[in-house]
Amino acid sequence: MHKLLLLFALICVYAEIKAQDRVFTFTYQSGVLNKGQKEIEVWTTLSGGRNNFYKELDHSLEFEIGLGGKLQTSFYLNYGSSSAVSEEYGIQVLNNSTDYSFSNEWKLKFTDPVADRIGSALYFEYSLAPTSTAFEGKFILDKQMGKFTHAFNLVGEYEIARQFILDGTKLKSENEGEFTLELNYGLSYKIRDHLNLGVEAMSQNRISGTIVEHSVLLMGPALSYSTNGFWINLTCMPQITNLKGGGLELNDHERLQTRLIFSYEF
Amino acid sequence: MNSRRYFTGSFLLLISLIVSCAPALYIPTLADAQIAGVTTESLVTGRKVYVDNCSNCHSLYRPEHFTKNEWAKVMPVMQKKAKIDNEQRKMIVKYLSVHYKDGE
Repeated sequence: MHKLLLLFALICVYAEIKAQDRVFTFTYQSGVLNKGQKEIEVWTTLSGGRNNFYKELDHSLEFEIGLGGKLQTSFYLNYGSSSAVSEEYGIQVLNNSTDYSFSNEWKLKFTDPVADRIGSALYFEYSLAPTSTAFEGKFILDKQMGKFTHAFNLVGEYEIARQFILDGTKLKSENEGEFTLELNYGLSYKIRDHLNLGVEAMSQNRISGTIVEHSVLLMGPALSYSTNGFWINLTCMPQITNLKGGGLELNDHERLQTRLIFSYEF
Repeated sequence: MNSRRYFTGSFLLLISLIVSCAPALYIPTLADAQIAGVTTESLVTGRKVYVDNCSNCHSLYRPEHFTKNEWAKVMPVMQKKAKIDNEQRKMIVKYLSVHYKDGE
């Protein structure tokens, strides 16, 4: 009986120590995989609730690998499908669109959220699609204090999209750039060894030149469950307010964004 | 725009608070070395080995998170996973031993 209890205690301690650290979906933490460690992540993001009945479902399949020296890289295959009502020549029509893209990210960790006063990392990602190219940079800060995990991201994304315009009988193309500044914050509490419950907040700001065109705040609950070899995180973020004028901004931003990430380590 | 500034300011204030209040993993002192019966340099090396090898796979655990027996049981399992040798494991154990959680 004594041996059985010892074995149980060992399993509990081992399971706790093996538990992964990622407890948010929209907010990144500074952790990177060890050299040679690999993970497959499946992302699903559902967003909707705009004035034009806009709804979007995005899937990403990510392969992550640790390179050593606190550096990790990953490759994503992205698939997105959206539908929205638009008006053409005074008639309302339902437009559906499908997007495929490829992304590659690099993450370099500087300091650790437990060993140092604050954890920090830099993140860079580029995405390639048939009609657009995007570059994204993140400055990541996080801290683990007892059962609480804080994470903060400053995110800048620049997207160049190719627009096609009908010029007589020919299509003319021109590039259009768009800059988005995002602030993310997550706070999570470890309820049990494998279960974290918290809250995530995100401020999305679309900037044109020096003018902030849109600025919205989203905030909602974040749930995370992990066990040996896999973890699953879910966050639901409704739009709380339009930071540029009050109320809700539903012409260019969604009423609700929900993301689920499932990860398997091998 | 005021609310956006307020929101950004709140974020920055929160981060400052976290940084100013946040404790880091203990850095060995002469007193710690005397408790462990080794040199301070040896404990500092143990800390470095612990941070460098363990923090990439999982969050680091403070020494006081587990009792001596709990650490003793988990270390051989983690040693294999982190691919560290016996000497490195002993250095980590020595570093952790100064602030073990009380009890069995």
